Amino acid sequence: MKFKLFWKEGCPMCPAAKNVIHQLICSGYQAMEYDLETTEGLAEAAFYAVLSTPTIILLDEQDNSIAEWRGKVPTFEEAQAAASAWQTAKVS
Amino acid sequence: MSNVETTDMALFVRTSEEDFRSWDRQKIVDALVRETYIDEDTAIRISKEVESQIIASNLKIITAPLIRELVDAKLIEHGLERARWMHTRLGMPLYDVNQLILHPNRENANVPHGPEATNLTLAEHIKKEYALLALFSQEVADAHLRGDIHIHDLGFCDRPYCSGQSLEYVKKFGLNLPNALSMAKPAKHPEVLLAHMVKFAAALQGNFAGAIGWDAVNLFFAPYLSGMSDREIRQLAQIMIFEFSQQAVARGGQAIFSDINIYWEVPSHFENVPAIGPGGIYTGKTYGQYLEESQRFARALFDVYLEGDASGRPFFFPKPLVHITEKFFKTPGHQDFLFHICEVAAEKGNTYFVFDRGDTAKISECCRLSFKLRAEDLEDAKEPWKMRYCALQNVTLNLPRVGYEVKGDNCRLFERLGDLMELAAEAHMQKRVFIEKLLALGESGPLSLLTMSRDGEPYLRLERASHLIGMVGLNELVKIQTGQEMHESKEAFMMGLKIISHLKLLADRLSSKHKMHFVLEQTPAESTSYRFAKLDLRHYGSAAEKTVQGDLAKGEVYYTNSTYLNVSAPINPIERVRQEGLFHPLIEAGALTHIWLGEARPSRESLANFVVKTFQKTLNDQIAFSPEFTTCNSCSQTARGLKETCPYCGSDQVDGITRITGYFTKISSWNKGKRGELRDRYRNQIYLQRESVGNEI
Ligand SMILES: [Zn+2]
Repeated sequence: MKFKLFWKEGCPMCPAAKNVIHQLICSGYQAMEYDLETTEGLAEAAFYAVLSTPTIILLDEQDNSIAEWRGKVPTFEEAQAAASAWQTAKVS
Repeated sequence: MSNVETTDMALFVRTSEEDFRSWDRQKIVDALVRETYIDEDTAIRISKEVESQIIASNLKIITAPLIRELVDAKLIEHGLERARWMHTRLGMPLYDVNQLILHPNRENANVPHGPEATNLTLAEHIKKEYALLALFSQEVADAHLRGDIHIHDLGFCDRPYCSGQSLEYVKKFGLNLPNALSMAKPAKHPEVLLAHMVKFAAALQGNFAGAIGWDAVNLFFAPYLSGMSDREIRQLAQIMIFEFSQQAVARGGQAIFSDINIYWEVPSHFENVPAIGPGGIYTGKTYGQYLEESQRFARALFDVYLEGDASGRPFFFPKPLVHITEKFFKTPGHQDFLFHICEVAAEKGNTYFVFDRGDTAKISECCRLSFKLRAEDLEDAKEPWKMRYCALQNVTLNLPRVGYEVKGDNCRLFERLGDLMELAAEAHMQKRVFIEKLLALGESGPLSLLTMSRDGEPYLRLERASHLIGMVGLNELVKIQTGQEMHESKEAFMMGLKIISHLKLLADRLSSKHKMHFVLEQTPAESTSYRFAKLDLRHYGSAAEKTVQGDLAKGEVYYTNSTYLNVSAPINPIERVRQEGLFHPLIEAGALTHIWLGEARPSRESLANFVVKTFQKTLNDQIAFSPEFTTCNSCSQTARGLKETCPYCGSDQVDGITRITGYFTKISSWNKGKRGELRDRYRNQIYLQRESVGNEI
């Protein structure tokens, strides 16, 4: 399970989204950041059909989407809750 | 100047002014001094050397072109290469002209064979030579000749590439064209408006190389249709479609490559715009109040498409582009209309479904070019005659060749793509300088139509022009780099996305660097993909043999167009639409996925379901369904599917009809590469006949 953040320079809500991602990393979650002005970042965004920044996508081990926040920023708690809900569902 | 040595010569020159002149050596000197930089003494020396060569040959009559060739050979002997280049003659060998007059041209399937077409080809030939010698730098011209890039329509180098416009211009200003024999006031009747539209399209065809598109045609006709009966509206629709599909009397016998954009709803940006009616006068209503007339006309147009021509064949032009938007689904009657256009798609294939998701609005033209409306365009929408757009030129990159050059090295791959993009930008800047020069000559210049200023600015708004950069063979480049084609693994598909993302970022950077609008486009490439494949087989031998698609033995070779997946891959169509659609947001000038129907005739309900799913669940920009037909030259009937003989009369005098790239044509006119592709196309016959199509995603 991992979070992917798609961001862009000059996007007003992106710093807040980055903050959430950093908090998630500190709490032991796996997370990646993609800058849409780089080739790698834009290609990854295209693959997940990301059309607006910031976007955060939570993926399972097979890269299937579990939760998505497109063009908006979840709170750290919301992101964590989505991850926990998935883990609980998987265990049971 | 002494003429002693020539007075005795019984030598005559056949000049290009259709007469004989006696030999005059001074003519050589004059031409050299006028056309090149060399001084008079050198010119005299060269003229004397040429003269003695001619005397020695004992000729009685000599042609002016031969004299020029002899002079050019001397210039080379003297090391005056630059002067030779300036003095060069453009033209064609006798043998080639003979072939051309007798045999059809397969470069562009839209050109029929005939004297007008031959004139067009001859003119194109010289202008192409001119472009490669004089318009573009040697670096750019050589890259085109080698096949690193392809500059499209070089035979039309002195015009912009394609354009999109609004009927409002014709409604407001009438038909008042520079150099025209007569001037027409704004139309008072719908038939007259239609005549103006067709004439104007023909005039534009003379000033653009490619497609002529019209925005929101049904809506802008609407104020003229109040009070008309269904029969009258149907009649008008029929005239419009026949007029555009029978324009084979226009430029070089070439039909006008025309697109009409159609909306079921009144697009939000026109809702409150004052409507222009008969006589070019405001009707006092807004376009929002013409929904009913607009819808009746849209429906009538598709009634005509459904019927086809007199022998039941689909109309090749104008291409109807229906915009599917959020508002479409909120507009009454949309379900019936969707069924209607899907029935046309299944029966005849004409319908293009253009998806404008969210708040985007577009005008589409060319094979698959669409202009997304930006903020300043939406401002223009308040005065819709201002909405006219153009692309100045189209340059296509040969992607597989980059693969042969870098041989799997990904670092060098991205570096080399950067070089190619710079080169394409260079080609665009050179063309732009040339077009600016022509436009600067104003209404007395060659592009007078584009400089006419009826609303305070020139018809061609250069500051809004796009410069298109297309690509061929992404799939094959990925295969060289990863060993797999894009549909074969996620890694290969990601590599494809990376390459196009890289090109997109480069286009953006070049745009801000040069203050020009460079955009990626899916090149239609009906002949470019064949040309690149042939050139690569010649220059890259076995590496290319392993890579090109098609039938090597028959020479029917091609690369997969633009960003498409392999045409023969058995991928269910909704998955193809989804996967190909992931590239579409990166391709600003518009993109399209083809669904080859073969003989299948899916129900309108299943196609409608497919269209709705495509709109809701994918990012795909545009789709079209392409059935195949057999038309009989003996009994003039049309049957479904590609057949060897006519199912009605048994005649073998038949021709196939289907889409070559973005439009329908007869298959007998196709080049070898496209025939190879046609054989490989995966037809989605069984899938599309199921009722649940599109539910997988
Ligand atoms: Zn027949």
